[in-house]
Amino acid sequence: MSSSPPRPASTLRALLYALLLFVLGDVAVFRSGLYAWLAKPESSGGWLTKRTLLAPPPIAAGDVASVLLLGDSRIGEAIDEHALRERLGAPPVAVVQAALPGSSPRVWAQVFDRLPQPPDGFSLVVLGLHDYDDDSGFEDQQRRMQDLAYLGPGLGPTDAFALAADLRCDTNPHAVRDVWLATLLKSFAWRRDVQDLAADPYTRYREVRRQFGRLRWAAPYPGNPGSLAAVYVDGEAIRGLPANASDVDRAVLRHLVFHERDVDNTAYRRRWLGELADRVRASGAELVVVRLPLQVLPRAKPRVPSTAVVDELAQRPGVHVLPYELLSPAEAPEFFFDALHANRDGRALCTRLLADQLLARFAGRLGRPR
Amino acid sequence: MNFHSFEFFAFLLLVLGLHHVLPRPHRRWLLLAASYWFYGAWDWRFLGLILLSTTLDWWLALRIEDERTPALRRRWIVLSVVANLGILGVFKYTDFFLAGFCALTGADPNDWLLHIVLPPGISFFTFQSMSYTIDVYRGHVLARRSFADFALFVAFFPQLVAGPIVKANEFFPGYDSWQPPRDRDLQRAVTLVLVGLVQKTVFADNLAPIVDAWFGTASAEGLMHTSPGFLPALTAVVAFGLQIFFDFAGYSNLAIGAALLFGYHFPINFRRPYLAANVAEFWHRWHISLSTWLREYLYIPLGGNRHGPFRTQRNLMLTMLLGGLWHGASMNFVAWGFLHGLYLAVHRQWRARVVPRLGERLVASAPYRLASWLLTLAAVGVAWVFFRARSFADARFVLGELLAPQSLGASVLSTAWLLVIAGALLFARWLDAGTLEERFHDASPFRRGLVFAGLLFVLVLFAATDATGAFLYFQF
Repeated sequence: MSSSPPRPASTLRALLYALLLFVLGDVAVFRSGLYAWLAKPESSGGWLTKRTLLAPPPIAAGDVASVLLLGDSRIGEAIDEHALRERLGAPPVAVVQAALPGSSPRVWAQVFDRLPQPPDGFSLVVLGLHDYDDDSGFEDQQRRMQDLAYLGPGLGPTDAFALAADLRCDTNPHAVRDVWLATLLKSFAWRRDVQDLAADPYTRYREVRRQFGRLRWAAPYPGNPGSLAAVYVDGEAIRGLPANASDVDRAVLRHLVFHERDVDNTAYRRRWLGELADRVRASGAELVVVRLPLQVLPRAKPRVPSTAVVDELAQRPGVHVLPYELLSPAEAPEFFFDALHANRDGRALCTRLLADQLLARFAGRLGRPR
Repeated sequence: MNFHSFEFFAFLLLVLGLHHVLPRPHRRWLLLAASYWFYGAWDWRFLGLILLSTTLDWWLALRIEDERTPALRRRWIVLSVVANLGILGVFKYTDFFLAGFCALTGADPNDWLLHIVLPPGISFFTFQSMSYTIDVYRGHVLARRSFADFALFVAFFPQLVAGPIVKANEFFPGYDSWQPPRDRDLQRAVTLVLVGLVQKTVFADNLAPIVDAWFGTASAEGLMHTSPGFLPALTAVVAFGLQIFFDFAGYSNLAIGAALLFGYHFPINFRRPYLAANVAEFWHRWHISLSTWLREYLYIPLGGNRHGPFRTQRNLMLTMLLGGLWHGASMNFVAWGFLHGLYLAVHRQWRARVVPRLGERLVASAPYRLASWLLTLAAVGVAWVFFRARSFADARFVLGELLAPQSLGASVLSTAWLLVIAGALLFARWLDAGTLEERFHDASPFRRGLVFAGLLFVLVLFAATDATGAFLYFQF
């Protein structure tokens, strides 16, 4: 091996090359969308990115209007997009199911712009909220680091300021740093997915191969036949849960029935639901807000919901808040398969109630005679 | 401020920038201020302690050097050793000995234990500072007249909290004839920093959950009543052996690399220790700065190997017992030191009595070397059990699973891949920062850039996603 010393300042040049190569690699593999082909199909980032980048547009020729269903897994389980399309009748209306499992208003607002849009934009965007109550929920949504899993792969540098300022998190002191890194470096945003790929490449290969040619927008919500019909409140206890009920189900049910006050998410919801309303409005669509079935069992002590944000939304042009009790008929144990999600019967009921409401209130937007 | 944090790198870049632009006479003040700020960021309350320790040894070294009477010189060095060990004893071992007292007398520990907070890096800077006064006493170095010079030697931030323990005759020659880092130094520094980060965040932090899941739950009340089996226990021990290596070697590489960026050359602290073919060789490769310190300032003053086999074995055992105790106030560390003392004593006897009878050919043969290497790994692994376990009961339980297992245990395939990769990389020459640097030192900047970019990708893609852990050796 030669012992000749390197040329002066060659290390600085090597570092510059390293940075350049690193950025080029990041752009070529991750930012370009190349990696999206390998991403885990049902992971948060993979699910969204594959659909925004790789799935065919969800609108068929001949559809006179289009409805986008937006929200978390609860709207995915509660509304069957095929049944809704059928119930809306002729002329055909495209119904696009964009339920993002485990997502939150911040994700919906950020993601809306990246969804594949019909040429004339969506006619209606139906947003499923788990409750109109700003105090209802199980967590401080402002601190949800999981949001980065959805948003990271698609965020651009211009999003970083707003998101970094907004996403404060006591449990992760590096939240702001992570937002910046995820927006600037797509390799960082995809790192969990890459680690999962490295841990079991063969399983990933099979998953990815299985989805080739079958990628579509709809989330895989076939309707769950399970039921909590036997569940009841006995004094301070909740009984009759199925044997396979998880600890999470038990905790959520107790929370729904006995917990009096949850986390106040008013400011957060005002910010991100407002942002979503703005973006929907700018796209030319109308925003329809619907409260999804929530109370598997009635609260032990009824309370008056704090509906400030939804009330404000209702005042905005182009925003329609459907009645609080619209889907309440599905708030009974027999319509849930777990503590959060509607089962197959609940799904059929919710879909029918929503379709009827849409037809009654938005016939014009849906291409029907008024 | 952990070494693998963004805050540290921002701090490092700021200090480097200022160091570059400041006139030379002001640079030591900058480094001293930065070092104290760095230490204060851990816990500002202990700044007084490091200042006290520094002032005391600086003043005592001057007294030792200025004193012409051997008896008085000896008095000053005894005072220095007693003061340093006293500081270490008060902060690190008071509760250990009080707990022992309570156990012996039946006194209530709640009435006696003081729960003294351990100052960061106290074991390191105390040993470093003490070695200086001893070296002055021995005439190996001249006492520094400048307090700032000596204070910087003790507190220089790259090696303040967890070493490597640098001796005065390793630090001051480079300090006195300081030259800006050459290009070769910068290249080595960048390599060390990148490899150190990979070792810590990619390997050590990814191995930590495997270790914690097992050792964290093993307890006399818990897993003692179940039998997780041989494979999970082996996985946990191997994982810990790799974790502590990657953690500490990663830290050392970061420290040495950071110092080199300022133009200060520190000796290497690890040299592929798990390739050692016997325990004596292991200690020439593992935490080299500590083993060197223990040899020069404890083993040799105790008599070393100069007074016959029995005294030699005694000295080895004492050195390793105290080396174990240096790591922490716990009987587990003492047991770890005892085992290594025992291994060294047995190895010495083997080398003296058995090896000559085996013949050179056999000793040099591949099967013999393979067996030696495996035996060394096994011995070191058994000792790690005591190092990591939370109690003797836990250690006994783990060793029981390893040496007399009730079952093979459940599959560990899900974690095995990680261990395989980590192990393969550990043994590969590529992971050794020195080898990496040697291989590429005369490559074109583009090729070196390619290597750095590769390391960056490994860092970004495979660093543990949920790790918040500090370096393990920061607790010592």
